[in-house]
Amino acid sequence: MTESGSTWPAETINALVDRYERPLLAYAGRMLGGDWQGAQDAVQETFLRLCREDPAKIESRVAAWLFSVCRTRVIDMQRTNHSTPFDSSQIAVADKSPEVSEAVIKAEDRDQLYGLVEKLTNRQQEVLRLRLQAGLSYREIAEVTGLTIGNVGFHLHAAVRNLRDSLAVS
Amino acid sequence: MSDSIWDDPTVTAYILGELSADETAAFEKRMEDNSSLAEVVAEARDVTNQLQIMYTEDASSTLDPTRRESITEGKFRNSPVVKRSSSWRIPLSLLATAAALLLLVGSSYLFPPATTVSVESVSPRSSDGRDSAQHPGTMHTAEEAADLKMSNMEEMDSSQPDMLYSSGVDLKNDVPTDKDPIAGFGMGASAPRNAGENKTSGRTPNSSANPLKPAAMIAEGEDDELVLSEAAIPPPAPMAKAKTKTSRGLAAKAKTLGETSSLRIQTPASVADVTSDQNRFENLTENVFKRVSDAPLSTFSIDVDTASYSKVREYLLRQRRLPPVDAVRIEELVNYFNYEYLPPKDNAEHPFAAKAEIIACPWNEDHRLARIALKGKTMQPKNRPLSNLVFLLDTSGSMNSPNKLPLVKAGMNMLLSQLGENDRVAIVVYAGSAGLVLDSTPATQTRKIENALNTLAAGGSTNGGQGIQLAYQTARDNFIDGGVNRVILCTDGDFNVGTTGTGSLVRMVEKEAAGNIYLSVLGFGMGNHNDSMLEQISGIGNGNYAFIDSQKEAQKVLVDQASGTLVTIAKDVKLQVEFNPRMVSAYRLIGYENRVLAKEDFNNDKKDAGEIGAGHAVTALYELIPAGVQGNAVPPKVDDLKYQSSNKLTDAANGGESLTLKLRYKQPDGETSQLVEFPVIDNETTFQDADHDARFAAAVASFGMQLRQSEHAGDWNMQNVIDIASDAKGEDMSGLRAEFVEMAEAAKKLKQ
Repeated sequence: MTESGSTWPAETINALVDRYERPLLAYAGRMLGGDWQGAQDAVQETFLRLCREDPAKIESRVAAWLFSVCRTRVIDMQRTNHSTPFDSSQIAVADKSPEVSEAVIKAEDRDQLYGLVEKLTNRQQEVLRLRLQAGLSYREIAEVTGLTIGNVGFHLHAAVRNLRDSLAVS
Repeated sequence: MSDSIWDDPTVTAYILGELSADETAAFEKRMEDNSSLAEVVAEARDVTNQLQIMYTEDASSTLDPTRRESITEGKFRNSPVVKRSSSWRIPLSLLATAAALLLLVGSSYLFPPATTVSVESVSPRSSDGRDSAQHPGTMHTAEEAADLKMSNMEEMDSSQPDMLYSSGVDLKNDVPTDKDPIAGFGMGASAPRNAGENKTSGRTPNSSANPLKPAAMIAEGEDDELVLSEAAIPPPAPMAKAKTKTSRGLAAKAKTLGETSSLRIQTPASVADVTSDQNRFENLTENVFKRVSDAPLSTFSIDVDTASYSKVREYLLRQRRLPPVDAVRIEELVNYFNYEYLPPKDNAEHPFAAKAEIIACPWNEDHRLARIALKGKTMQPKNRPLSNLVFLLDTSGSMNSPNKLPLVKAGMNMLLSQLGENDRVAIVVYAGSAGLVLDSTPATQTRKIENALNTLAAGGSTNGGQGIQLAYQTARDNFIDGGVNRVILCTDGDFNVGTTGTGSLVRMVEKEAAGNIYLSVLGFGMGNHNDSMLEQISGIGNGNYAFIDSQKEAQKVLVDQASGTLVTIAKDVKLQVEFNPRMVSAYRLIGYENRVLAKEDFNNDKKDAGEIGAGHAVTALYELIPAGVQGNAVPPKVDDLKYQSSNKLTDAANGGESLTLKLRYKQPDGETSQLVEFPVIDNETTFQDADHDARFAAAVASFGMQLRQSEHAGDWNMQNVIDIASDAKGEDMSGLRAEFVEMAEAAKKLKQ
């Protein structure tokens, strides 16, 4: 392998950010219980790590890699009570993101669905999000969460089933 | 009753496309035998569809700009010089394994010593040794693949001489006009541009052909995903057909690569504007003021596209940044709105009503503003002719994003709900290979169609060239005489035309349109949208081009305006305006830059122009400088001619008319155009007295001009746009005008 093989072309990084910033932010934001500033930190950190990573090692599984790193980062943040290397994050700044995302979900039934999803177990919510928001395959979700592929399928199905039941009731 | 069935997680795995081909087949067999299972699947699918939409809308926030910068900078701190080839493309390259590159490597086997130049430029990546070193195993495979291709090529060569030839010709034709060479790899970054350029020029010196795509053409998706899209294809016969086409395509492409070597040098090395994303927009040069004495005629084709508006909205409201100048096509902004123009009466002679009026120009008090309004006859869904629709869906890896494929599916479901039992729907997908997912099916067989839809999954790379051939073939096979025969291309614009080149693609679309199979384009997702090509082919295909960025937009295009999207009521609609020099000294057409025609084209029925769909409204605005008004805007007078005397005014010039509007159109199935002509008199209407549609359209035009940083924007700023648009909203049942005000407010903030 040549020396130059160990860096990412800038536009690859740009394209990766474009492609994954939204689902990563939503994922991290949810795990951090709506701490959008923290989510920004985690996602920024994730991409910075990506830049340092050897493309050859992860190019075949970038999506799973990004979510794994982001997840680890978020769990670290939860442990250390949100302390992060970025000063800006310590200042409480009102972030527009939650309003924006709330604003878009206008339809009533969507609000209702949102509420029902919140009642699912964290595990179920996580796999749903990774599948339907980030577009990861069962295998990638397994890689990110440490579950087995079969387990991923089980949780997803359980989530869908629960939602169907609650929707039928309501 | 169905509780025990609900215990089976395979249901969800099936819906989410996680089953292998065999498992899918087995599962579908089970569904056929067990109606409760089918019900459960339908229920579960309903849940996942809703979830999909919810999550798509939920994922809207992006990184703060400063954080994003830090990522890019952090990157460059670590590696100031990026030597790698720039051709990486995400997410394609994620999905693509080494095999993606190996068409290129393969090509080096195909063209040994004689074309080494071409090979070097074609695949710098294979020559830097990195990938070949890294993937020896796959390389071997590619070698075999190359051999295979070789044998196919020999067989196919003789059968497809025109295709091969035309590829070569395209290259020659397209090269000199290539305005945007960087578009090929369409990336925003600066460092590795040169490497990429060589690559671009070597492979496909064809601006809109998306030269990157061929590299990834045979990319393998992630196994599971690729399998899925193929698993979704039940009928073996069309697949076989598609496969043959693949090999033929590859052969043609290989040949193209070879021929390219001699042309490579002609490719301009200049670098055009690069936007910070991968969207590729055609450069538009704004129309200027013309003196009526020098150019009394203004001729252009109508345009009912609206894609530019949704794209600008995406930039302003979602991404919170100003759109690139060339993303703003003013006529598409103005035509996005549904003005209250009166449609023609049922017994009217012409299929549309035309009207024109002149009001004061709000951004320049000395000027006047002429508004030309056309309104196509409306059509109740029940009166709509039968439809034979072939959806050509892009399921390539780049569509694997919540605002793309899921939205495509949702949009299709919406459109299906508008169709009846005698309408037919087929689905062709293109990704690594093209395939018929659903043969032409009555539109009321919703379950069958939905099943086909839901087994789609994004994966692999685009091979649009074959897909579109198959789509047209399917449309021809199910042609409905006197009906709506239309291919609807749904793509993010990553349209690989590797097998044909843009030139022959355009010819194919043109030929099929002549055979009354029209093409509409629905663009999805931001990021790598080849805007100019999509606009071009939809125009030639007698279709419209809409950009679907949300459920709401899908609703507007596919439900509220379904008739307009589907049914063309007049084609090749051209306008020619003759100005009266006694009344008007100069004029400027606002927008329609890429629709301007030569004055001779007006009476030339061979010259293609825009279409009007049922119920479509078209608005065109001219800024007029009245005779006698001086100012900087009036272009300087040229000297009188030495050998000819200047035109004398006719008697009609004294009649007080400012202009005469002439319109030509053909019936949808006609070959000869009809002429409509009427004069327009300026009644000295002030801007305040103009109706709200006129004022609103003016506000939208000004908004567009300001976004384009036009020198003709006059003394209006965004606040004027906001004030007038808010005031002229009218009823605004759809809320679209309120949204426009929101956009203008966002633009005002961003401009500060």
